[in-house]
Amino acid sequence: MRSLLFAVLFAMAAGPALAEDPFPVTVTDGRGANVTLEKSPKKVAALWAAAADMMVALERPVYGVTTYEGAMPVYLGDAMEGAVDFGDITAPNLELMAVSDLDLTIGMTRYNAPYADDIEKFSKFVTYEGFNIEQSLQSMVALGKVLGAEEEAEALNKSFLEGIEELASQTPAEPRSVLFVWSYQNTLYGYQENVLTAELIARLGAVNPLGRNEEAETPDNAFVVLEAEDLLKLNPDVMMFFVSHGGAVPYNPVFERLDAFKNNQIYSVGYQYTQPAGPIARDLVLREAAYLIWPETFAKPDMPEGARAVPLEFAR
Amino acid sequence: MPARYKFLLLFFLLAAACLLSLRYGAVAAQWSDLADLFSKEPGPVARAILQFRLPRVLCAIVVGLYLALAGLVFQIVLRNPLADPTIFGVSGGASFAVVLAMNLVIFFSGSGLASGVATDFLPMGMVPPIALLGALCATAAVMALAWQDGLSTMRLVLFGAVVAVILNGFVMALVLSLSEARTELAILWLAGSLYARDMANLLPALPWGIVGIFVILLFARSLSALQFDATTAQALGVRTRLSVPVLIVAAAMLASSAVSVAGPVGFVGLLVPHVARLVFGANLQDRLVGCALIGALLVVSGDLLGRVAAPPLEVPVGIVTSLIGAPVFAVLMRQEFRKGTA
Amino acid sequence: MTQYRFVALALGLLVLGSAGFMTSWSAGAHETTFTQTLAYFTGDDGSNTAFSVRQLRIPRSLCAFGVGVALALSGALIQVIVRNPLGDPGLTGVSAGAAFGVAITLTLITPSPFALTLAGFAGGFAAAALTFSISGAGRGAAMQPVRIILAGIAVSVFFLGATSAVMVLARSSMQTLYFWLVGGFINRGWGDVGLLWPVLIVCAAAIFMLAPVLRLLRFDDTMAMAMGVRAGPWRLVAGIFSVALAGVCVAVAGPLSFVGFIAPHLARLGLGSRAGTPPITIWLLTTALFGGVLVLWADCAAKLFLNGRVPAGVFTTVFGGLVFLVMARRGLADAR
Repeated sequence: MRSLLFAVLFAMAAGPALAEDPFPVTVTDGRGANVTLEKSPKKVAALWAAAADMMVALERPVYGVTTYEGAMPVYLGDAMEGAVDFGDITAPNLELMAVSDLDLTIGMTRYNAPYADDIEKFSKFVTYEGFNIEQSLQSMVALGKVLGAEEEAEALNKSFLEGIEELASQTPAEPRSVLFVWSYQNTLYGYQENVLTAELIARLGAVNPLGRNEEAETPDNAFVVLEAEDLLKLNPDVMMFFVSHGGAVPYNPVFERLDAFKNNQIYSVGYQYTQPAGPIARDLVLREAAYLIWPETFAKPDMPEGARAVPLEFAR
Repeated sequence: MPARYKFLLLFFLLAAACLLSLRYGAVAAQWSDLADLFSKEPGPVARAILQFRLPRVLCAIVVGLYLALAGLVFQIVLRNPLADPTIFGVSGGASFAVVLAMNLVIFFSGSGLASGVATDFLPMGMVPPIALLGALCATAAVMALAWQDGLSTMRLVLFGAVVAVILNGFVMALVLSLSEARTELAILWLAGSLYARDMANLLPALPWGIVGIFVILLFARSLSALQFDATTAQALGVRTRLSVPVLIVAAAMLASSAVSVAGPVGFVGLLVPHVARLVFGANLQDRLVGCALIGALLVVSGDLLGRVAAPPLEVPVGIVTSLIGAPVFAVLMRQEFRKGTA
Repeated sequence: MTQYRFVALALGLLVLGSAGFMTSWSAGAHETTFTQTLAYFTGDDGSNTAFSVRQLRIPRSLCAFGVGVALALSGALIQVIVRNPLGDPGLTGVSAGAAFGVAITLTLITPSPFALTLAGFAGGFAAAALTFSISGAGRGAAMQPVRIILAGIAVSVFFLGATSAVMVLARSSMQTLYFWLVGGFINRGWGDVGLLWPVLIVCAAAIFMLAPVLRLLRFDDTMAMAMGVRAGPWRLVAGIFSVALAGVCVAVAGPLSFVGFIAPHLARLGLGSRAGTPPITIWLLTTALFGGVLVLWADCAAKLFLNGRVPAGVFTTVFGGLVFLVMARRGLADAR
């Protein structure tokens, strides 16, 4: 968080030197469309949480957002107060958006690009996604360009990459295996290294017992359905659960045999872990994961309390 | 009450539902905004109504009308009061085609990661023709299976159900093998929704549907005679060997078109013909018109309720029609059973 | 004649079932040999493999087999009660009602397995009561099969719609709901066995004790009366057992479709219905075995194929469709 603020300050300080208005700008977005913006967009709907994240990082007002899994991006803290709720990311409310006089709508390619024709009726529309570090970096620069802040976006990316290096250099030599799981009831999905959150954890120096999926056509397909027995076999040192809709995970005797359980390192993590592509989210995930995995080495990061990881509860 | 007045009443109700549909929704509109629709330069609210609510209302009318008419024809021709036009391969075929297309797009477009451009999604504008194609193919397959020296209605019902079940199994497997982000879109479509439907979705469904309706009107006399058993129908001078298959094809076309617009909206085709029979009695012409009006009314009001229930969220119209339709169906059945035992 | 067929059939099913159990006990992340697996039955060496076999694979296979048996018996009872071969907990609204109860509890209240079972029961009974009252049965009037099924469809459609609506309004991820609605056994353990089997044993025992009455319920009410049984109340009693079985299955596995419908038919096919109606105890036993073996293998398939992403319910549906196809052809051949 500190280095992020620093990056923003740095970018702002550097700003006046190249203060000339970059608009009109033309970008090629995540679905391959060329979109031209004549002037800096004032009213922006961020259907994709990472876009809202970027705008908060740039200290721009976010006019409207969507929810994912029923939750607002709480990790953005107070910045989301007053933002319009456009509904679920998979089906944002089009007529609400249409009367909002939007200059720009930023969507997530996977969910929102299929409805491009409808959204383009009332707003300029770009979509991006960030399923891995590479995509996140590209998307954030592109978003920076769209918002007229390419330099700042580059700076955010740079400080993010430096942050990874900085943290990774402090990681203890003894390897720890860490599993990131998305769970609903008895169904557990374990993420392989292709997916951003798991990739960040791996870049910190932790081992992903599921490895990398070389065959996944798209990074969002790099997950496996985990049986309890698989957990036993993988036996991670640390587990991070994103519990769909929060609450407890059904108890299974397997957990008690896992090193993660004996280490007291099974956590229920916040929203940012499922939508980690934005500059604030990825930074938080990086820093909090480092702390959760190596609590002796790393400090507890500053972050909104509602977004902080807590010990996982089991429902018996 | 003479049928004339009932038509008037229904027509009035439908018009009212349409107006309410245009007036209410996530965006608070005023009646003046509706008047604004006709001005040269409509305001932002009126523009949103024109862009999003009006096409949905039109889609809802068409979907309801098609499904109800198709249901009526199926129930008469197959002599089965439980015939739902969407089960004869139509829903299964459309669903299978759409979900398969979503999978194939991923397979053929590759990851697109290198360029940072993802082209591996299915634009929703491409869904109607794909769904239509799937529905028609599956219907043709069911007909081919059921054909044996002419079209046996019993075989049709059985093989229709069989094909529906098997396709449903494949749809489930395909949906679950899609990655998470895509599954959501597939499932929203499978629920039967009018979300983001516009004229581009409606147009491919019009010619097929109009042909279907035209054929049904052309064969109205046969249809009327088919309400009796086959021998009586033949005695009345109806060539069942010709009219039965033709009517079924026409009804399947209507149902396929409806499903291509909104996805598999269930229960409308099953329910509305029963309601129409209770309201209009045995006269076929009255029932045809009545079905069209009641079907449109049900889907328009279902979509309206789904939109105003909890904005900014929308409950898909297929779910709402089930929720309204099932109790109505139950009450009607209850009354009929009472009459039966009395 | 039927007795010989039954013995042959039962033996075949027992072999198939044993093979299913062995597959289920041997397949998993930890490699085990056949003999090792058997050894773990008696001795726990504290290894993860032993734990997997004893604490994970065995209860899961028992859940799958038990749910199969329970759904098959539930379906068979409904077919007897409404005197219609289309009977299935899905068709009478019971599965949908139970699913609604479970889904609401899951989303809004608690994921505690015990609460879910109760919710499954409550939903199932509410749906059954609705179906029953809509069909107009019980007012001295005879229970009419077509009416029950018509009413069942209405109730079923309503509860499925209500389940989806609640999920949409709670902004639930549709993916997970879908996974659950398909039904399967991933990560089920002894806790679930503890919920399922007591209900199953009580109901099954009751059903076999009721067999002489059930035999008469296959006839219409006047005929049954002539043979000395007041059919109405007994149909109600049998119905309660059927609903209880279906409710607990939905709570444990989600609404697996088609098992309750096809298992009794497979039993009829296997026993040779053309030679006359098979004795009811034999038919019920065969039905239960068919159901158990079917679901057990469906779960084995779910474990072995497609990386576990596709749960058992998909396999029962596809298999159910194929059996349906065979039956349709046979039914048509018989009709001719």
